[in-house]
Amino acid sequence: MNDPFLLGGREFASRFLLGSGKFRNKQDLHASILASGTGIVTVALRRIDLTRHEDNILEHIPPGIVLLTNTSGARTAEEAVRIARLAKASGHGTWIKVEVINDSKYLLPDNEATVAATRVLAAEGFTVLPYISPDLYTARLLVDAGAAAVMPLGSFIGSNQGLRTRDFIRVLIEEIDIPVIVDAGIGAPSHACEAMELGADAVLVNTAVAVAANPPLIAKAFAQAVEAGRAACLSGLPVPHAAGDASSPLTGFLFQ
Amino acid sequence: MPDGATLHDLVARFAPNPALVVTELNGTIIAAAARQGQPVRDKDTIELVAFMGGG
Repeated sequence: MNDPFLLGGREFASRFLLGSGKFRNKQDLHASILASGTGIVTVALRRIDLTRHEDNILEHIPPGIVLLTNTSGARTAEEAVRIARLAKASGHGTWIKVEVINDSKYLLPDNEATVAATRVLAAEGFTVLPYISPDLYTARLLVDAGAAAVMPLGSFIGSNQGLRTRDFIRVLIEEIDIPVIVDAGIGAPSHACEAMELGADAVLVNTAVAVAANPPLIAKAFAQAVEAGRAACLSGLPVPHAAGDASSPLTGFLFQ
Repeated sequence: MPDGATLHDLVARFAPNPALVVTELNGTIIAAAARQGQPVRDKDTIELVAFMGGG
């Protein structure tokens, strides 16, 4: 099936995006990237720990992968913009997942600040993928601001609860003309498949892969689930019925 | 850092792979190519940041 994923002016073979946090070791991360076939990996920017000489995560991400730097740690639009500019100065790309969070309990994104940061960064030429609570009005503002996609949360970050916001994500899929990438809360390949069946353009997963007993194996399972969900969506899924509907002919019974 | 030290010297001392480090001096991003000529002084605010795992 020739079904390329177009995002930010580029074409990707995979509709699965992988986060690089929480992995037990860099070898698991590297193997998971390869097993998933992903073309996009998220990373974060942090101060260097002067007491430890750690190797840089970029050394463990295969060449050709697009780095999507998140602005985690930003509590305001201004802080998100600053992180994005630092990422650009590194020379490792201008793809930014805008993530502005003030709420330390639920880790819900600040949609208003996210729109403000997106407006600034898109005008500066960044490819901006904003992480949001799924809200139609916010998504429309993000389209106008120049976002390359919207990334609505499926449920709380790292919660593995799946698509608790399913109906609201469906609204974005129906109403927004830029890619919808479901992010956060996807805890099992079945959740990823569900998002793709619903019509999402792609799915981003981190925790469920990183904390699995065998990260490369589940990364592959997620990629397969995303493919299956996409194929199902394109195939035209049947409408559920409240009652039974026989699959075999209702004529010519042997006992009539 | 000794007198006359530059941002380049500071990065080399603290970062195993200086090419993968981003620097900010008193709130201004300093490109890697400009670190060699950028002296650091007492009370400067210096940020050394690098990519880490994140979702």
